Amino acid sequence: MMLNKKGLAAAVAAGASVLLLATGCTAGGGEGGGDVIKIGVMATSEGNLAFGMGEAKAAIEAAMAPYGGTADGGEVAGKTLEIIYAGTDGTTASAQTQVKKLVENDGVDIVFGPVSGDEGETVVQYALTVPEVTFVNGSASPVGMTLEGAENFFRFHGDSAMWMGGLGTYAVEEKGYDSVYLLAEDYSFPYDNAGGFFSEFCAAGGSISGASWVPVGTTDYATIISQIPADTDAVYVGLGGADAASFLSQAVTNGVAKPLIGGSIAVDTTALSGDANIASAAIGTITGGPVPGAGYDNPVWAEFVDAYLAAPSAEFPSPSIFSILYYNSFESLLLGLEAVDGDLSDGHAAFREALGSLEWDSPTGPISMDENRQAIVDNFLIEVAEGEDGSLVQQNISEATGVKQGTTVYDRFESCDDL
Amino acid sequence: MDQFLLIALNGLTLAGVYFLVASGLTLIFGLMRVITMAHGTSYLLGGYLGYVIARETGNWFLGAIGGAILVGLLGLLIHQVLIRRFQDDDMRVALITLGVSLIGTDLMLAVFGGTATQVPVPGDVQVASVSIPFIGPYPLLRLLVLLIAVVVGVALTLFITRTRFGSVVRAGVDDSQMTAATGVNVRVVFAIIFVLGSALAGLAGVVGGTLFPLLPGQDGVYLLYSLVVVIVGGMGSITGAAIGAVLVGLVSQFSLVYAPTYSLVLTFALMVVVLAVRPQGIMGRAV
Repeated sequence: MMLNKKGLAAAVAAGASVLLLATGCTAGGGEGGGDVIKIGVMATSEGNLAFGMGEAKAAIEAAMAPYGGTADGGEVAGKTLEIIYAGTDGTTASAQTQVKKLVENDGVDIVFGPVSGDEGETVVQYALTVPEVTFVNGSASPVGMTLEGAENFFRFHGDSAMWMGGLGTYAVEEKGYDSVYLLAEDYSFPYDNAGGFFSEFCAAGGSISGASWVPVGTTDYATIISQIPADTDAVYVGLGGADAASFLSQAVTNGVAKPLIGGSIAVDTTALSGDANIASAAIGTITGGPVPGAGYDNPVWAEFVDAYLAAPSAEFPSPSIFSILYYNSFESLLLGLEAVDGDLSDGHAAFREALGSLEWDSPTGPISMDENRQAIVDNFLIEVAEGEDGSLVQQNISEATGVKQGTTVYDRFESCDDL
Repeated sequence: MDQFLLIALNGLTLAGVYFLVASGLTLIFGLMRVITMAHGTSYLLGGYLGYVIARETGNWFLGAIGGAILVGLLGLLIHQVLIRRFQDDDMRVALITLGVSLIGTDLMLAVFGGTATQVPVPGDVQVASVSIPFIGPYPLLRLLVLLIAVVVGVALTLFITRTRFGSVVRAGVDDSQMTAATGVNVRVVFAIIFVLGSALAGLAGVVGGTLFPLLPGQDGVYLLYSLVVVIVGGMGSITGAAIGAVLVGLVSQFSLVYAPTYSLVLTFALMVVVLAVRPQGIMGRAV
């Protein structure tokens, strides 16, 4: 059968209205009266963070296990949790598509995630447009996310500036570093991460002896290394992944004698586990982050590690940063639901009130909330040491307790005066 | 002044690595006009093979030779099985080699993992430095890389310009039908050039993988840089590749200090400027 123009227009209109009805019916859950609570989980399933989805599921399994539930849901606070997953590739575009799918097509009550910083910025912007849905962040860490004024957005872990919490003071008081050279990649994560370190370091009396903001993907650091002034006490390395590995090996070749201070991703397991001769540069490097190093003494942590290892989706020999942050966030979400007996009525009012005033002892120390719905957390100070078998390990030095978010969203800076 | 010289020397030593990768590409792409997108993959594979051999034998030179020979043999296989039939069809060859590179990259990720790997050299060579007038102590390793590049460059130039085989190659490139009519088996000549080009990429991988880490993604980076070097220097010219590599190396090191935000932009701006002023490249012949 052929449709004439009028018929076609009518068909399109009818189709569109059916579509609108379908999404309208389910959008934004929000009613709160039902016995089923739908949670939409965003995590990376493609790209260089493709393991994010597995880690998110392992974290949810670990949190659901005490309720007899699984990654797909279970019974919590007298309600049936139904957990739906949406995979992204870590980019803004795919996060936008997937968060809309979860809210507008699947009609979830709560969005849980995402993984990467870029995704996080997008999801917060979207959260502002759908006030009837509650958002609990997964592991995205840009500072600005909880400063956007989204009343329905909660983050139960530190931002990337807080990941340096305590390290600046430690560098001055314990290590005796007065002037530090700043080397970091030129994009938003290192701005926040280095900003967190240097704002504290400068406040404690330290100074910046020079700065190099290099493009992501820089492999040859010989020239940068030659820029480090002789009277500098230490070098801050705000690099990650391949760039960090490049720098560390060339620090050995070019004979960098200065001690190093690592950004949160400069001397993580991925950088330390490669087969390259970086030991003499890496050993003694201090760094900070939300993941405790070896030797962290906390029974709740030990329980979590066991729960993670028992989770069917766990792929790593120990929890990654993503599973830890996802676990703390999902457990917070469950505790919030329990506090109100799963009551999502009145536009989630009681539930959000409960989330905003939540206090509990997480595997990584006490978590409480500030007025921006951003967590106040413990942060870990770590030093790279040589293990018994000659491998490089992250040793826990101490915890900075009750680290609070600042109000500065950092940009590129060259000296203490810029902060 | 010291600072200026130091940055210049860093640029030259970096250019050594760029030249080694690009010299192979200038043979395959510049001389034979075969658009290969798998050149970066050959670089990374050579590096990984050199890493395995050097680690097992404890001998860096065996790693370098082994990496070059194995990648060269693989190049022969790819040329004979996949490329030869379509050699005159640019688009097909580009797509075939792109496919080879995508498959190769993922296979290497599966075998060697995603963490940084480096071709091992004896510990005292890695940290040794040489005192250079006006500059002071300078890493020996980087000077050795430059030396290898110079030796390879001179040998290649002599091979192409001074030997009988070299003249056959140049004749074959200029007019393959006429060359074939004089009794030369042009197919064999082209296969040898392809093998040589691939082997050079493999060698470059071992040398580069000694100085910088080998990681997934480096293949794309080196393909891009060697394309820039070959285009700037002029396709098919070994001297051109050397000049191109030096320019790209210097621009990237100086810009890293004086305009770090724009260092990538400036590298490609160099290519734009050269193409605008001299479309055939600095040493390229006008077509």
